Amino acid sequence: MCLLFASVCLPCLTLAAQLSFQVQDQQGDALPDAVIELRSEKLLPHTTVHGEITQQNLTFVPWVSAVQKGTLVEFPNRDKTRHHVYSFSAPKVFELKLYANTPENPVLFDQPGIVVLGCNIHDHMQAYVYVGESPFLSVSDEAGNITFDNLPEGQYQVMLWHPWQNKESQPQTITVDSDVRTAHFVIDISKQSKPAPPRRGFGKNYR
Amino acid sequence: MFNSFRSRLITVLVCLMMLVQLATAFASLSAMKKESERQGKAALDVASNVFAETLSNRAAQLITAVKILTADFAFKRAVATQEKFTVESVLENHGNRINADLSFLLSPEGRLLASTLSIPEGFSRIDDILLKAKQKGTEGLTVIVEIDKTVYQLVLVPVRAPTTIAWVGMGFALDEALAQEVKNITGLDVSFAISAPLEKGDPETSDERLQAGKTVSTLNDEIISSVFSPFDQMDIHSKDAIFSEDEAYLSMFFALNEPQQDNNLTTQNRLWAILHLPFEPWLQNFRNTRAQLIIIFAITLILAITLGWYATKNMTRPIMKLVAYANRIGQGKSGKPPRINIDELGILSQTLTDMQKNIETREQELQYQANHDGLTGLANRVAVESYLQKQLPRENGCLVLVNIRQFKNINSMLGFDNGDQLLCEVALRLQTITPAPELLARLGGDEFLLIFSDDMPPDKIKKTLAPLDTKFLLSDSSLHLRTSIGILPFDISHHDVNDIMRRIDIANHSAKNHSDGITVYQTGEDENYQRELTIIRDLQGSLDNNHIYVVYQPKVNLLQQRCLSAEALIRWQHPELGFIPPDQFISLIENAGNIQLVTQWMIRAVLRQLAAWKKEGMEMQVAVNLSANDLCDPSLPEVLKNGLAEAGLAPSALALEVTEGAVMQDTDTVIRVLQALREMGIQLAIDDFGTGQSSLAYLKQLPVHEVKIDRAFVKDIENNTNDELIVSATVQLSKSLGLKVTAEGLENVAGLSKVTECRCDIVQGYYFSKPLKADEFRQWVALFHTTPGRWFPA
Repeated sequence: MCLLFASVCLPCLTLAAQLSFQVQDQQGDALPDAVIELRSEKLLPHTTVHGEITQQNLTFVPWVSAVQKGTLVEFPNRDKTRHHVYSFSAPKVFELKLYANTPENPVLFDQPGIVVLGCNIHDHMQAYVYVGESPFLSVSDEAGNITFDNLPEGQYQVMLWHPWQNKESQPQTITVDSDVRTAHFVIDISKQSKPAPPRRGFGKNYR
Repeated sequence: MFNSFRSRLITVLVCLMMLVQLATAFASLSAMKKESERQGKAALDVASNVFAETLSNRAAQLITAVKILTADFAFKRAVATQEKFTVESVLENHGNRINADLSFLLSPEGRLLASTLSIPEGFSRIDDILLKAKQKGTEGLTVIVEIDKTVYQLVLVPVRAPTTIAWVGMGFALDEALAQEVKNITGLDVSFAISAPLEKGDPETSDERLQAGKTVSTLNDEIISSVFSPFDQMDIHSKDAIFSEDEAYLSMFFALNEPQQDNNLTTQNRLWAILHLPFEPWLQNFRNTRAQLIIIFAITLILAITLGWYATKNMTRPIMKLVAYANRIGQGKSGKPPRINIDELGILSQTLTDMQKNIETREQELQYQANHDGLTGLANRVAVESYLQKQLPRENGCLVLVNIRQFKNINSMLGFDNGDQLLCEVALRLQTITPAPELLARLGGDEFLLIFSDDMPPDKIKKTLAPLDTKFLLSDSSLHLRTSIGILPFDISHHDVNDIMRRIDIANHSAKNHSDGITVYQTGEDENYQRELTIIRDLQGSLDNNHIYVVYQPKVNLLQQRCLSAEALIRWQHPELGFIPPDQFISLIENAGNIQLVTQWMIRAVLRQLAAWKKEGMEMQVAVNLSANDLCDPSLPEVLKNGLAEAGLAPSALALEVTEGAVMQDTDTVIRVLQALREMGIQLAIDDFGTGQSSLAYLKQLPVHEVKIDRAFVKDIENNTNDELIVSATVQLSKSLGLKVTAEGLENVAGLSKVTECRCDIVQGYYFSKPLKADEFRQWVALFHTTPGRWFPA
């Protein structure tokens, strides 16, 4: 029953400049934390960027990150407790054993794919890192909007991902020209709650 | 025994009590059994709830355990390697930590990644279970499944790193350890079993049969087979409570899984926990109660019979008294009625008393009627006989029988009313006589009997009875009574009542023929009377036994000097009375009306003799005497005709002699009969001519051939001239009428010449021969014919 509604409003645009996306779920609600990567046939410059995923209030912030492969990501710990960040995901398996503050070395995400982060001593903590090929990738804001500026003209493949998606989306081809355009995408999701620290005290959740 | 009122009463009481007791016992026992079952079921319900709770607790514990296991970082890391051997090792290792019997790993999509046991291909339930588990999210799922005939409590928990990277399933067998644990908690034996739907299972009935196979139980094998055997024959449903064959266990089924239906067909095996409640204690309790009831029953039965025996004794005692009383009444004894307190029986007792009184009164009435004459109120014959019975033997006193002569005539002249009145009057007068008799009775009719205490001569009795001689006034006419009085002194006859009654009767009878009308019984009178009775009584026997026989007296023809005929005479040589003269018994028998019997016998005997003589060559005509009764019988000619024909004789062989007296009775009939006999050819003679009621008129009327002159004129003819004249005249008269003449009673040779002079044809008498028996007669005839000169002097 999980159907993807990926409607591309302007299929053949060539002009460079700015491109906006609006991501919605199957209910028509704005969908935050969706990742859009625009891939091109052309070799695109590798912009080495330092990413950062902080641990604050027993939560990974941000929950969903999107980085180009080869990005070094810092995991600063702003909580009083130590954290034990790990990933068993294939693109990047790593483990930052119990640490406080900022670990010595950032983690290099050198393979494209989805990396799920967890904390070994806080099971509820969860974060996703989308490692993309292209420098043009971003995460939708609360309103489900993503805007790319200064996009070179040309044809792109639009990769669409969300942690709750029921099915992997098929890449869509989009042509970027000078006009400012806004594209709408719909992702079929199973709506869940974002990872949050459990309530303090004794109770079911502490079992 | 069981017909008695008492035993029936007891039987009814006991039966009633037994019925009530049986009903009570049945009701209480069945209620008790139902209650036992209900309590057993309730106990099983509780136990099954406890069991469910136990199972749920265990599930929670297992989930927690497995969750902790999967949260182990090393475990996660090992799983994340996705190396088959590593994963299998970690499953086994970690599974052992929590004593899992089965561990396996599924991909998030449900693909089996690794397993410590080989899970059968196409274990389709995995998908369903996983779907349910996914719905529960991270909480994990427990479910009870059967894998390869083993029942597991399966726990399915996601491996989160931190998202679900796999599902770990760990199975914990429902094994004997668990069963034992449940038993420890519930106190009941537990079995785990698998049932399979029947083939072609109908969802409506959803037949389930326990499957042969592994059954885990805390019961030992022997008991289990007995407990489980009823399950084979029945459908199983959750919460069913079923007794074992011997009712030693009550088992309740508890479904461990939900039936799954595909296309409305139950395809999945069902898994059961079976709780076994030992029912033996309940049964024992039931049996004890039953035994107690039986004992109570027996005791009350004995008590009831005993009490009933005594109680009914009190009830039936008055009845028995009444029965005894009624028996006494029946036997005619009097007695006091029993005292009875029961109303109905009291009434019965009173009724019996009344009845007794009535019976007494009636008895007295009957007694009076039996002993008294209804007309005169005097004692009757019965009273006399019983009085005499008491008095005998007695020497003093006499009996007097008074008889009113010609009372029949008085009755017919004056009417029966006056006759009765006369009898009453006579009775009254007899009551006034002096000396008064001891007993005055009317024997019946006109006979009055008096018993006097003193012996009295006839003249004194005549004087005593003088009041009867005065005139009686009857319907305005005066009547003089003539009485005949018989007297019997007691000293003559004092032994037998019948003798006395007969003799007084004889005496009275004699008195009737007596001029004075009064006679005293003479000794011997009764004996004569008895002799006559004997003669009449013995006639038939003597005829049969040849005590009566025929003799023949020759009749001699004077002219021919030959004997051609004879007179047959009857003789009776009685074995006790000796020779009985014929005139004595013939007149008795004539009076008794039996003379025809004798005549017929006589004729038969004579005809037989004649036939015999004829065979021997002797022709003889034999005369038989007939009485008046014989001649009044119109069938006589026919009888004689037949008799002659049978004997083969001519009618002329037979002659018949009749007296003139015989003709007097019914002259016309007699003459008609004689005429018929004459026409047949039989010789007829008038006997005893010249004596009795002789009438010359008869001589003219009667169709006879012969006249026999009576011996009275013949026996003395030689000396008596008158006799000679009479004979001579009679012969002349007879001959002129064409009749032959026979002279009877010739005694001597002088007489013979006289009768010859008088020209008699035939002579009969002792001069020739006395009557002879047949053989002697034949001899005499032969002698006479050879030497007639002996009788006829020259």
